[in-house]
Amino acid sequence: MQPNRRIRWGITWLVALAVVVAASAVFESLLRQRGYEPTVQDDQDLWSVQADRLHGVDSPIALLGASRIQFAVDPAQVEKATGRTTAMLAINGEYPVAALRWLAKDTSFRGLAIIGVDSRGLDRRHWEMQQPWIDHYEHRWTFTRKVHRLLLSPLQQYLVFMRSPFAWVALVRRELAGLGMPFNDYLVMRADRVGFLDYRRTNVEAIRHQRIVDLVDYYRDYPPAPPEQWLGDLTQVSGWVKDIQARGGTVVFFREPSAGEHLALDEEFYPRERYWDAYARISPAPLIEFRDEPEFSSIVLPDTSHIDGLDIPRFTDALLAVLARRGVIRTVAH
Amino acid sequence: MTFDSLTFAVFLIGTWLAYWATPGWRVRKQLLLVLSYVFYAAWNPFFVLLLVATTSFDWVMGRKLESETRQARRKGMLLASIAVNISALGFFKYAQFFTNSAIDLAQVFGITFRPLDLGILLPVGISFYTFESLAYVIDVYRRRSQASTSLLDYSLYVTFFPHLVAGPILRYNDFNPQTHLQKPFAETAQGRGFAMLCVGLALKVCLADLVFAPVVDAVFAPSANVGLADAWLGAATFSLQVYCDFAGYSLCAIGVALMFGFRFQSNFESPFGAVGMIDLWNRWHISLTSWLRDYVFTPLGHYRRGRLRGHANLIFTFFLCGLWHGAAWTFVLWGGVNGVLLVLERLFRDHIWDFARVKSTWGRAGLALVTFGVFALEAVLFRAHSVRQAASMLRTMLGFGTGAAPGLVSAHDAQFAIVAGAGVLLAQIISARERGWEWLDRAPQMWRAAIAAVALAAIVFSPGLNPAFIYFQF
Repeated sequence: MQPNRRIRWGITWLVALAVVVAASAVFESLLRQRGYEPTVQDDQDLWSVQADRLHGVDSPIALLGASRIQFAVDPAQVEKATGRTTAMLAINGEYPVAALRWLAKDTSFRGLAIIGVDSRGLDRRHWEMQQPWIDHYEHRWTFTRKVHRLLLSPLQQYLVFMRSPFAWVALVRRELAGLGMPFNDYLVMRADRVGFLDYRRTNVEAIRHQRIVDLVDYYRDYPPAPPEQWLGDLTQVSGWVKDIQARGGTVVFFREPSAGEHLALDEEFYPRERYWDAYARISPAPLIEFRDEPEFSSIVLPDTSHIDGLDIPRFTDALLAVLARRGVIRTVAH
Repeated sequence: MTFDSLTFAVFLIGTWLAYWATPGWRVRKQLLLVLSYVFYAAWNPFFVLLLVATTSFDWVMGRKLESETRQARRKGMLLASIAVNISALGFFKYAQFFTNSAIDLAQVFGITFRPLDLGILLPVGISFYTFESLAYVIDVYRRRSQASTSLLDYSLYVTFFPHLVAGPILRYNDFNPQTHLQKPFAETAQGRGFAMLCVGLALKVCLADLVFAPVVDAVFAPSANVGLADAWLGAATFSLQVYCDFAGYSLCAIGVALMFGFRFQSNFESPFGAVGMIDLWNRWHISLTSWLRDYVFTPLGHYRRGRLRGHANLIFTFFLCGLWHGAAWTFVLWGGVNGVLLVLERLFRDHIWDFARVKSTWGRAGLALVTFGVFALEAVLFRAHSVRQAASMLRTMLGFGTGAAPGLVSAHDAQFAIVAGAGVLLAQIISARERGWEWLDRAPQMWRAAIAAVALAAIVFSPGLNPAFIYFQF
């Protein structure tokens, strides 16, 4: 009786595995035929993997900011140029002041924080945007989550269907809603959280138009605080900067490039002279404005605020050159 | 380290290979115990010390209880053991709840205290392993179990990783005999165990997390203004979610244990195929309800001291059942309501109509659906963030709502949940008389392969965001 059963279960699982492997291959192939590419799915665990890199090393570099840092600066390139461990902590769509506060409170951090932000991002109402990621790291991040995330990233790097938008339930739900297949994103994310935008795979004009529409809506709904109030709020931010500096760390604010109508709208609502430059005069940390730096003059921004993924090495070099010229970093020869 | 993580997959493969490759039964058990501690340490290494301390204490107390002949001293030892176990559980799980409740009560009398955050972390699985330890010392006291002569075997009973953090709640007399003889490598057990693991994971990652959770989260959001249809949909969907989540976990645990040659009792037996709440509670979280029956309801006197006393015992037992589930008044009320429902059902069946005797298939199916509706209604208390939210939702479900706008849940989410939910209910109504998973061994080859492939595919094609199992919080 026992040998028969053994054989039966062996066959059962061989058949089941063969079916699932075949189905996976067919599904993956269909997705690729439709133009989808594998990409790592960013989440709070992946952010936490990067946050872990700040600990246990001398003088690491923390890249803070939103999409304009995450999709423009290559931490591996920074690491190679400076010889310092570099963590990508920028979060697409979320301004970074909470992350600065978190670094200020972390007494072990004595490195360099490069903070990609504009005047709008320094407004107090945006300060808490990245706090959920920090809460996750401080309260829910464990060694086992890290192992899970480190195993998941390679799978997502090679298989399109390993991301949640391609879960069969999500696909059926979209079908029921008449939405068809998921948006074929022109962003490819690496396991170190740097994102490569490929504008050849999308309608740049439509994206640029939508970005401006969104920005107009935003400024209509959320007009800026008066400069005096805005500057007054930043006293607290300066305090966090000083906390890091007191431990031997460094902070630098970097206003990343934007162009066209986008820049014009930013300038209309947050005039540089009354906001950014006003803070630059009293900030304990240097403020770098892209228009002051010739290295950024030739950077192309297809959608008015982000670079193409192919330009990441050039942009990273430009940022490193500016930081070196200002004495914020020293590059090492290779 | 949850069962639905890649970390657990690596842990399981490594542990399984090491276990079966290790010669010698004693060394295998030692390996299993050490790796179970590693599994537990993945949540919080410091709580391993608590686990080791309580396990060792109860083992020593068991030995002393067995050798001691003076009844008064035995009783003292039993009370000491119960006090230590309940104190640990009470401190970690209920201290904050009782503190908050005391502050709220003081406020009723006009005395105001500032809210106090005790900052106590809950050791995962403490409710489960405490009940296992209590069952052991009580059984030794009653001389229904022999005290364990091996600290290794006793520790393995409490700590064996598949059941450690969310049950099933094992009984020493069921587990201990299995530690005496070396397990042969049986491919039947491997095949069925792995199948149960896959089906359990599919229930969790596919149905609970992806199909039901979005509807439940929308309806039970603190700010949600819920209408009649949404409220019923949310309550029914939550019942299905918690079933798929917890029965899924239990199935994984039983399957994994089987892959190591250990047999656990079934924890869920088609509860939504039940006719009446008494029947449902005999099929839902069986290891907990049988524990409460044996160590609370029966010692209280069961129904032996009269009907009225029996009803009171039943209600009290279910109050405790609610409190075991969570340190919140919503859980206590949920338990109490279940106790009252069971009493009402007894009265109804004794004096008006014993519907459990209905034989026709359609009749039983209809009664099962009514039972599910009652379960869904009171499950609102289980899921709600506060008594106020639960009361508001129950009012709406009973037709006394304030007429909130419909459409809180998107139509396609609702359709999906209804179709999947109907499938789960239908499967349970059809298989209500089937017990255990041995039927898998007898199933035709192609059927088995199809079930295995569907379960495996459901897991592989459900990449999600890995939310925790609901019962981990208990």
